[in-house]
Parts: sequence; structure tokens; C-alpha cells
Amino acid sequence: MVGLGDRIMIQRETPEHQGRVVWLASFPKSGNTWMRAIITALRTHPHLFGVDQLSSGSQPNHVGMSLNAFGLDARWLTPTEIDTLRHALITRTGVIPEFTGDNQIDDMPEVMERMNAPVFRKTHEVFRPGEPSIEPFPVEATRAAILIVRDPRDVTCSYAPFFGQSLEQAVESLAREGSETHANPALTQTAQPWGTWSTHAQSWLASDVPFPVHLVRYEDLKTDPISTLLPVFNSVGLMCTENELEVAIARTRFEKLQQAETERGFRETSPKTTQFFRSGKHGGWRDELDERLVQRIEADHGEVMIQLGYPLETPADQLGPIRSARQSRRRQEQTAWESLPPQLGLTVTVGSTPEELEGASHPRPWIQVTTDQALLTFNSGSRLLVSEGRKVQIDWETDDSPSKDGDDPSWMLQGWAVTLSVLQRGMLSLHAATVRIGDSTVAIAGLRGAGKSTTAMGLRARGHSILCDDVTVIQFKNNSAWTTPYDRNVHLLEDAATALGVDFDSLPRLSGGRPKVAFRPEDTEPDETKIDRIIVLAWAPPTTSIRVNQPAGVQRMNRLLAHTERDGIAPLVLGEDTYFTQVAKLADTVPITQITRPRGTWTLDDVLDLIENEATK
Amino acid sequence: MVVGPSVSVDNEPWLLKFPGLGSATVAEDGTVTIDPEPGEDSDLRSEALLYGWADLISWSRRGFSLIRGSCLVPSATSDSGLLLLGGDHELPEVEFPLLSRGWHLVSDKPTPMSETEAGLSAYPRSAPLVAPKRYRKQHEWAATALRQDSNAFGFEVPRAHTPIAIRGICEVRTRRLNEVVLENVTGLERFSIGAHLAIGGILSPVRDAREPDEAVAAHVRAASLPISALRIDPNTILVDVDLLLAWWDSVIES
Repeated sequence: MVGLGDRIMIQRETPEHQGRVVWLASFPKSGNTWMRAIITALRTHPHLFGVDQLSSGSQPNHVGMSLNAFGLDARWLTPTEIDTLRHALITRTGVIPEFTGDNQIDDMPEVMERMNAPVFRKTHEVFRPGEPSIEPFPVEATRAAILIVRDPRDVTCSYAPFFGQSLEQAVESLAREGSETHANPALTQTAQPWGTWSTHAQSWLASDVPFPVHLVRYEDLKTDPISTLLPVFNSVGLMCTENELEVAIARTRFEKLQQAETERGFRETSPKTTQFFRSGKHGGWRDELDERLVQRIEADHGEVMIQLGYPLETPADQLGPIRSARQSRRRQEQTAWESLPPQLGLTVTVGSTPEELEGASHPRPWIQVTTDQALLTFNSGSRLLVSEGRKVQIDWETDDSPSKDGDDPSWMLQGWAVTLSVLQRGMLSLHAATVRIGDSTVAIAGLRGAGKSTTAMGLRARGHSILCDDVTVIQFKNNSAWTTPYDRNVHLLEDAATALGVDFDSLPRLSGGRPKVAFRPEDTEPDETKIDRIIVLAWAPPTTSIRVNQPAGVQRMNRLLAHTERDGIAPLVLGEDTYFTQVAKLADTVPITQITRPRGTWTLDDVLDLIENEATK
Repeated sequence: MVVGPSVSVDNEPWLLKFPGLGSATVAEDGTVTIDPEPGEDSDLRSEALLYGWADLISWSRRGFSLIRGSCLVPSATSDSGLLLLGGDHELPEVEFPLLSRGWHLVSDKPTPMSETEAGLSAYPRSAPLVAPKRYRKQHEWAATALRQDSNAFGFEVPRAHTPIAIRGICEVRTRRLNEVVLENVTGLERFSIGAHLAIGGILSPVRDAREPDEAVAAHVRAASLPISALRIDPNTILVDVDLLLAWWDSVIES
């Protein structure tokens, strides 16, 4: 990544055989069309220039032009063959043929000049290197790229009407990686990943781009087009004088393009809008975006905005919590509520469950347990049935069609369904969050409200990885206790979220009980991991100080019973003998540390220090 | 080194090659041979080489233009064809509702066309109607994926099997805000559509001609046919197609 000082050109080592293609790369609504208009105006007689005659051809993902080039109907190709075709089409126009022997054209300067003239191609895609022979931006055909960037707050205001979105939706679109990541043979297109506004710019400015990239800011183009463009154009072989460029810019002034569109239309206008050339203003976002949307954009893209010279309005200490919550939200959006890691081996269905299980025990009024089935009935009326350790059925009372908009049954699935299924398979479920701290794996157990999730999130904020929250699956191998990490939401109370720098209001709210939100940490590797230590969190009266002790003898087992009996279900499902044997084995194989802290006092940082210390023992 | 498809036209027969897919030859008289890369799915590769490539070159070598659109007729015995021009996105949107109302397919895009004294004629191609996978759920026609991992499906739809006179042209596009659904194309726009009717480059039968009068004549003839512009919206497609049918009736009556 570069800073603003480097913005004129990122010079890289270029191959000896330089191609003709100059990529006009930009995130949508960043000034690409205006740039193409200027280039077209430079190359066109004034009387022939029109807004509908912009050069730069189709975008590179469209391989339908193969019908002209090769006579091929690309709909009959596989995605890989389509990628190969794209490469061939770009190479066909971009590689300058070598003239030797009888084909020498050194004495024909006009032909030479034409053969060497740059070919401009618009693209909204992110740069990616690609596999050999199917690189999406073939280096042998490429001369350079011109990356046009624009303040994402202004992009948002232009993007929303163009794609028929609200400003709020446009903010989300700029922060989403996008879905066009696979080839689409039916529409004769290769993948065309746009990335987010940030990742788009970062991809083109990254050090692995194998050709020169010229960075042009839309705002500089507006304020000083001549000195912004002249060196760039001359560098890529579009030779022009200052006067010629001045004339071209005068012919493509925004008002003129807008007027031409009003009079004759513009074929590139989206079906969702009546006007392509809408405002073109620099800083127009100040009149259109409210503070909340500005904060979201700056939380999503602040780092890259600063690097590209776009000052932020929001103080840094406000941006962190919003950023953290928004990243979590996007991780949740990318995960279907019913998805669980395959290593857990569960099948999930939605449908009605029985109200009663015949011959069941009732360790709590809302729990029914038999040897191979468990049925839980929640306050909302929703029910969860887990059978034979593998089958999960959810009777979702709140909504016929569970979705990730708002509350969904993921908490039921990720918590209770996993616990019940592992018990039915003869394993233990430890009521604990598990965190990877350096080379150690530490399970943090505690009763409801003991601060397991808050502690795990605090450790995450210190750079450690949350492997799972609330339910730690335990199985024994080679005299050690092992767990299978699985990604799930962490449920946070408002004070904990605030203390941890997470914007509570930006996260999905959970129904029932005290107000909690679901935070999705980063996904973890699903490999089984040995548990090196169990930390038991406990409360003490407010006047005491934090105490750390290592339980010994029978105390070790006592500490674990409270966190493994799972509302009395575990002894019923496993059988008392098996259950107590397993807990004893866990107490025997994993060191236990109890941390007792005073109620009513915020001691998180001290607790985190102690846990980090214990983990290194 | 360039890796990708190639067409060698220096010797007879013409040789088409696409590494990974296979090769084919097309003789001057249109005779085709297919040689897919061996291995699993070689049948699908054969079909791709044939319908997606060699067949098109074959029509072109026999002097036919290949039109950027599909041709359909109101019934199997009809003598009047409607040429639908449009992109891969728009054409199936109109083709399927027409087929559901009893129309028959002469050729899915691209359509072979020739000019005779009687006018412009479209010729049946045996390639299936190609459309995105999602149309399987909306229509009754049997469909299979053209290739592995592809979202392009071939649909077996009712066919017309004889050459058909083109009586009208409809250019289909996605409707923008405030655009009318259907209008007659007039003036210069008609010549623009006529001039862009045929696929150029290697599929143009007059690619080597020094004097392109032959092609110009076909364009002018196409421009003299009734031409409409249909602006579709997937949400109103049945109403949009009703308007197209009303226009078609007026063309036939006139």
C-alpha cells in the first residue's frame, strides 16, 4: 500500500516486451466514464465526438466478443475455458507483434505508431494475479494501469441512485466483497470481483501488481486536470500537448456530458436511473449523508481513505467500536444460521417437533431427556429436538422462515444442539469459552453471568483467537482432553460490548432475557486441539480482591461438576457412572486455575493478565 | 506464448483448436469433423466443439450470415419468422414466454440467415436453446447442463425444421426508468440495427470480399422489414410479451 506522496505513479520493474493495454481501473462511480470521455475526446475529431462513442471497448469479463474473434459461442465453455478465452482475447489485442525479416516495418513510422498506440480498457474488477496462462490481466498484453479513486463518501452518493439503492444500502454495498466471483458461462462472462471500495484500491496498489500503476484521484482530476493527467497520459503512450488536453477537457466538462445525456441519452445508464451524469461534485456527500452513514463509511474504509488522502470526520476512538461491530455483522451475513462445521457431523432440519417425549426425565421443567433424544422448549414456544447424537430438528415458533435478519435460531443450534448431540455421543460439554493464547489452549469455564464471553472477547482484543464460546466439546485421546473448535456467535451484554470497544447498537439483538447482541469473531481453523488449562471464573463479595488458586484433590472435580452437568442433562444422557468417570478424567488430565474476583468492580484487565500468565506456565 | 483458441485458415480444411477442449475441422463445403480431448465428459466436449464453434463456422463457410439473435415462429407450420435480437441476458426472457404460448424455435442465437430474391430467410440450427440454469424452475422443458460446473443449460423446446422467411425484427433490451415498453423503430435507427445484424469477423461470409456490396444489400433489406424495440422488465415480462404479440399480429396483417 502507498501513501498519498506516492500517488502519481507506482513504478515497478516492467517486462521488456511491453503490451498495449492500459487498464482504466476503478470502483464503480469513481470517474472512469469521465476519464474515458477525455481519452476519446483526445483521439476524436471535435465534430465526431459524442457521449455514446466512448472508447475502451467492453469490460474484460465479457468474452462474448469471442464470436467476432474466433467464431466461438462462449456459452458452451466451462468456467476454466472461459478464463482461458478471456486471456486469449486480451492477449490478441494487447500483444504487439514482432516484425522481423520480410515483415520489417521500421520504415513505416505511421504503422509503427498505430501498432504501439495504447488500448484503453475499463474495468471495475480487483487486481488478482491468477494462474499462469489464464491471468485475468495478462502481463504480456499490459502496458500499465490507471487507477481512478474517489472519496467513498461521494461514491456512495453516486452509487445509490445508479443502482437503485438507498444511501444505507449503498454504504453496505461499498463494504461488501460482492458475489460476482464465479464465471457465468450462460451470460458469457468471467468472474468480475469488485471487492470493497478499500480492497479494490488496495489490490491495484499492492506490490505484486506486475506492471506500472498510475494513481489518479477524482478530486485532483476536478481541481487540476491538466497536471494530473498530462504526465500519466504521456507515460502510457497517449502523447498529447497541454493545449490538446485542455481542449479535450473543455469538451468533456461535466455539464456538457450531462447536457448531451439529457438531449440524446447515454447507453451506459443503468436501468435503475434516468441519469448517468448526476452531480459529479467533489464533497457533495456533506449535503447528502447523515453523521451515522459517514461514521459507517469511515469505519469500513478509514485506513485506506487516510492513505489516499481523504481526511476522516469521525474521531478515531469512535470509529473502533463501529468498525468492530460492522466486521462482525458482515461475518454473520456470510454465514447461514443453520450452518455448523462439518466436523460436528450434525444434520439440521426445520419442522414441527413433538410436544412431549414418552418416558422422558425432566431435569428442568423445560427439558425432556430420554436415552437417545432430548427435547427443549423455550419461552418463545420454539422447540429443539436432538436425536441419536446427529439429528437436530428446530421448531421455530417466532417465524416460519428463519433468516439472519434479526433474531434467528442460531443461538439454539450453536449452543444447546451441540451440547445435547455430543452428550448423546458419549462426550462431555464443558460450559466454557476456549481461547488460543500463544501455543496454549485455555478453556474459560464459569456459571451463567460469570463473564466467560467478555473474558474471551477481552483476550481476542489482545490478539488471541477465540476457538469457541460457551460450549467446549471435550473428548479424550491419549490421556489428554481435546476439543473441536467451531465458529459461533459470542453473546454480549451492553456494558461488556462497550468496554470491549464493540458498538452494541450495530449488532443483531437476541430475543428474551437481558438485552444481548450476537458478535461473530473471526473464523478459526477447525483442527482438533489439546486443552492445556481450564480457568474457572468465580465471583466473590465486592470488598475482596482478585484471588487465584489451584484447586487440589477432590476440589478439582467439584469445580468441574458445576460446569459440565448442563442443567442436569449430562448425568441423565451419559449415565451417572460414565458422567462422573469422564469429569474425574478431565480433572485429572487438565490443570485447573480458579480466578475469583469481586462483584461490582471492573477487573477485566487484571483477569486477562492473570490468564495470559497462567497460559504460559 | 498465447494459449487459447485458434482458427487456422491457411489450408483446407480449416482447423479449429482449443487446448483442453479439442479440435475440429470445417471444410469449404461445410463438412465438420470433431476431435474432442479424450477423457471424462468427452461427449460434452464434442457437443461444445460442434454447436458452440464448428457448426457456426460451417454455416459461415457455406455463405450464410450469422445473426445476433434467435428466430421463432408462431407454429410449426408457420411461414413467418420473428427475429429477436438481444443479449444473453434478455433473449431467454422473451423466448420462453413465446414458447409457452405455442411458438416454435427455428434457431437459438446465433441464427443462420441468407438473402434470396424472396427476402431474408432464417435457417434452423439443431443446437438446443441455451439459457441460464434458473429457467429450469420456471418452465417445463427438459434441460441439461452444457458442461461441467456450468450454469448454461441446453433446453429441448419445440422446433421448426424448415427455413423460414423473416417477417419482422424485434430488438429486446432491459427497460430503463420511464422508457416505453414497445415502439416501432424508425429512421436512422433502422439502418443501425440492419448494419449490426450479422456477426462480423471470422463468421462473416464476406470477410474476404473486396467489395462488400453483398453485405450492404442484406443490411438494407433487413432495415426495410418492420422493426420494433421491446424494453423488458422481468417483473412484467408476460405483459411485455403481450405487447410484442400485438405488434406481431399487426405485422402479419399488414
